[in-house]
Amino acid sequence: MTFLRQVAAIAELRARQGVASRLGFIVPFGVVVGLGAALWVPGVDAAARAATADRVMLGAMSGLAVLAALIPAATTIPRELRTGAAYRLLA
Amino acid sequence: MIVGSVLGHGLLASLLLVGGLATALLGLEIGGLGTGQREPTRAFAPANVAGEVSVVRATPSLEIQLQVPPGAIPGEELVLRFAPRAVNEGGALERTGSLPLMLHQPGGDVQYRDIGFAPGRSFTARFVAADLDPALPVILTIHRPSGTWGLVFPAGSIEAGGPPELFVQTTMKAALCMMPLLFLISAAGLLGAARFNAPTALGLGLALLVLLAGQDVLRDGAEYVVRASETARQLETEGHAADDGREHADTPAEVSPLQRSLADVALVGLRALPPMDAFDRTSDLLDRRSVTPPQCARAALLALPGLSVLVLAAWLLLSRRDLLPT
Repeated sequence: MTFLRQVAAIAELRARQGVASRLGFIVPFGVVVGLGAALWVPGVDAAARAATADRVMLGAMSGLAVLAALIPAATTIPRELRTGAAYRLLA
Repeated sequence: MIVGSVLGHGLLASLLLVGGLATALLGLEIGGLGTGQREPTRAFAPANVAGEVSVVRATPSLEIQLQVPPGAIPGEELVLRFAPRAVNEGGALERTGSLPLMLHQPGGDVQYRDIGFAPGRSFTARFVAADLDPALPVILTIHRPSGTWGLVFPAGSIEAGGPPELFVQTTMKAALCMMPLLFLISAAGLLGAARFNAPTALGLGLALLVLLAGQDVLRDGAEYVVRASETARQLETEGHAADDGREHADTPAEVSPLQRSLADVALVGLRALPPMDAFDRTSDLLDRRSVTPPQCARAALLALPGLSVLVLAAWLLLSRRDLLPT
């Protein structure tokens, strides 16, 4: 039970750190991606343009989500080890 | 700390993916490429499960009792997708043809469709489904196209679409399939971070991503090396190898034992990787094919072993580091 509470606390901390580092910009940025794709993708008809726009939208948002998963994960622990914050987290 | 970090980073990235996709759909709607501009997505299920059938010159027509997914009839339309194998039966070669189709239920009206097709390509036929009775069998009659091409329908090559689904619903299910990949990438980043500094950790995460995305290319390359090596060995055994010192057109590429060993190792290693298609359902969405909950469950199950290994390795690496108090 204690282990699960610790896991939940660390998970919440990581999520808060992510929000604090303004990763939330991805959500409103989605509108820009969707709008841009709808306005500028080429295609012979609406169905072809919709298919291209869907591909652009899915690729862009998945790519951003992958970066949002990777970059904080790869940078947080080295920073915490350098500053000593990791010791307090594990204590 | 590692488990909590994977959960936290993975969950946040998943929420951002769902939120980002939702707002991107909103952007598409505002930009004029909304739901009305695309065909509705449907869950397709095999409609001919009885075995291989064909329409060729010897048997110019056939009747199939279709297995229609629940909820498809009565409805606006019954969508059938065909992926037959074209057989050249002689005559003037044509690039396209037309396939006469008839659909009926016992005691009901017959619907006729003449569908254009090109050999090697799948095609779609639509029938009015408002008057169809779900309690009665649906019979599809296929006539051989006039001209060169006969068509062979292996089991499962005819699919019937279920009820239409909202595109946003399918997109959210595709995001659900993507989530295990986000946890995997996050765990790979943490594995690197547990031992190295941030740039190396980033490189490790990106390497995993590239490996997952490019595994088909690597597999093709490794299989080519193995094939070339086998062919060379076979030719050598049969004594057909070129003996004049010049390369012939049919001589396989030269493969060193080291290359062959690397290819074998790569093939074994690639078998342990989950296929990228399990997480990335873009092709389904573009094909207007619904993503099903079992597909999402499969993606999660495929990611689970890799995730466990990465988390365990990261925990081992982190536990061996000296943590200094501030």
